[in-house]
Amino acid sequence: MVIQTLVLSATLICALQAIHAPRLLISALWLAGCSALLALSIALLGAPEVGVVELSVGAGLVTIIFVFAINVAGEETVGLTSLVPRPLAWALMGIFLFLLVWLTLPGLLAPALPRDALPFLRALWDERSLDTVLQVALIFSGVLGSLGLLAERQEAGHTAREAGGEGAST
Amino acid sequence: MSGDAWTIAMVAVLGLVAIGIYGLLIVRNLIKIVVALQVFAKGTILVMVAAGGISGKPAIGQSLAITVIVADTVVTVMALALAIQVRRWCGTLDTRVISRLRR
Repeated sequence: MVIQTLVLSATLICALQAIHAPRLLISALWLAGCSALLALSIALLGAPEVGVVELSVGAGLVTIIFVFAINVAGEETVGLTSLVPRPLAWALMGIFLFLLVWLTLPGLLAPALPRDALPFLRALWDERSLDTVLQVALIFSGVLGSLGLLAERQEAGHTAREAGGEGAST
Repeated sequence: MSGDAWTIAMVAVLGLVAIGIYGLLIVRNLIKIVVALQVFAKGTILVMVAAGGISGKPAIGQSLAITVIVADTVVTVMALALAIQVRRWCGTLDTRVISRLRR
């Protein structure tokens, strides 16, 4: 219990630092720490499979992609003057949290249902196989979409090179 | 798993979601917005696992948490690719400058 509280508190601190860090790279590293600690707390809650996936994908892959994106886009420190005024942001956050608690509290206070003995792997591969197929499709579309977005314009490069060649020959 | 552990997890969920919402509202850098979205998604992953445990169906909650992790990663990759393109075409990641370009 104490370990769980400590790990989750550290997760929250990492999340707060990820938002407040002035440099983007530092922010990405705080996010990786938040993700790793969350994976640990999920494993402590009795779901080690989800913890491993979160650790490898959330803390590993996503951090690498963040570092790549920051390298390509360049470090740009934007001031913390927000589009939304700070008091309004606090008020909206309070309203959102109030609605969240109001909607979820009845479910939390309801008497616990009998525990389902369905094994996790059977639930993932048999009961929710459509989800798994959709995840594969989503990963492929994500990879293809990001490749399409990151691709340079080939025609523009060719015409520029051809024009340069012509200019050099004449 | 005792009820107190789930209560602590739900409090952490509220904290993560609050930090994510606050970040989405105040941050202006496009890549930082994706970081805030990630923090928000961490809250949803934790709430899936906790809700599965509380309702007595841990396997369903955990498989949904894995779905959320995969979907969130794809959204992050696409958003970062878009941010790189915005930086390439507009020369900045500041949302205030980008929204001014429209007028």
